Amino acid sequence: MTCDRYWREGIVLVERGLEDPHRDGCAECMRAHASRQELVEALPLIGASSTGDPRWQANVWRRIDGQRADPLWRWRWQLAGALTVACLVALWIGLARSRTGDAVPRVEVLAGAVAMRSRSAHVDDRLRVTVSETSDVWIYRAGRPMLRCHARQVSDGCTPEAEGMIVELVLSTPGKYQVIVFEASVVSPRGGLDEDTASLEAAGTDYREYGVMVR
Amino acid sequence: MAMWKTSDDAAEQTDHDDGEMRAALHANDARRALTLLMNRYGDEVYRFAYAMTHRDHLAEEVRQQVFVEVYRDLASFAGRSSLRAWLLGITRHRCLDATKSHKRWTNRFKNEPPADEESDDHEPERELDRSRLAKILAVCLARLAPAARDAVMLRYHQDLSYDEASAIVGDNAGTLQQRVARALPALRRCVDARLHVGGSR
Repeated sequence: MTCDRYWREGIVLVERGLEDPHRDGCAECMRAHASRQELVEALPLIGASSTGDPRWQANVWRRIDGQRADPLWRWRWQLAGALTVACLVALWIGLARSRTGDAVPRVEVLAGAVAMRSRSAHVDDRLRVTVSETSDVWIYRAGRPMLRCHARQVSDGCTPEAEGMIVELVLSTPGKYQVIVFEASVVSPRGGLDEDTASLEAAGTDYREYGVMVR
Repeated sequence: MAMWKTSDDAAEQTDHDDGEMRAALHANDARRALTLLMNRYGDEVYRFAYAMTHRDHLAEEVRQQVFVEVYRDLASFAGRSSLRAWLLGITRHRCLDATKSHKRWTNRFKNEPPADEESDDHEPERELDRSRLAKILAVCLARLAPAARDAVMLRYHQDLSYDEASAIVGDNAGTLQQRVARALPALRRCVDARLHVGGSR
């Protein structure tokens, strides 16, 4: 008879630094624990044999001293470079919009009436996620579910539009908000962020994850 | 246990170096402070970056970026965390940036073989020396979700406590424990699969 309790429960106790009385009487779990030990003892050895470029410190100083040298000259080139990049980006955005309209999914923070593609926000700002009409959106704070919108669902915070769906949530508490967007699937939510992403991965569902820090 | 902390002497040396570094900083000698930091933590930052990115050139680039950034921000280091935790936090961010850029680049141009092609898993022997296991682990780690990889690396590669790792990542310690508890079996399965043995989980 085999016992897989260790990989389901025993290992959690180990990570929490708690005793696992079952393990001492179960040969299968002792073997599993030994194989975990083998892993954690090997982990610090990753990269241990490589030391990188022997001249790395000199390169760091060169970069630092290069940044300080002739700041006016560098500033001019930076300005010219920034302007060029800004023009190219504006051109690219214009072309992209003219071809496909706004790309989705799009995650924005709304401070009053102003929408920003920022990944940081303040309390009482609103988070707006725009997705295609076939997408599901799950929103969490500190790993706990706050709002789930299924494709085409009409409910508080979930609003289907002509060409997609808009999901909005007031960021009422400071912390890290996470947004999961994926094509609607048969996967059911199981609880927190980790459990849900594990379910999606187990079902082979591709998803995109976004984070917004609220201060 | 991470290599730098294998004895009390090493811990004492760290305290001594940190004290010297803070003294240099106090004397407004940023160059000396950075030199001390690079001597003390350079290899460790590189190993952490290598384990996070699994590529030599990215790890080296990250290490140099980290210390350039440290030099810029030394004066504003408030001492709320240890120097080591501060450095590892910066390193982690630069690794995430480097990995994202690298992924975008390779997705666009498809000009590089996947990292796991570098592994030497062609000998299916069960009895491994640990360095070979570490190489396979590096390949398997690269397949974990970034959040799980961070948790495993900070806990078992850098030997941080869950509370210390929590301060760096921004998630609570219990969440990190769960991530590690779920990641380790996945790593075990991946390692076993690459060794072509079944039944040992």
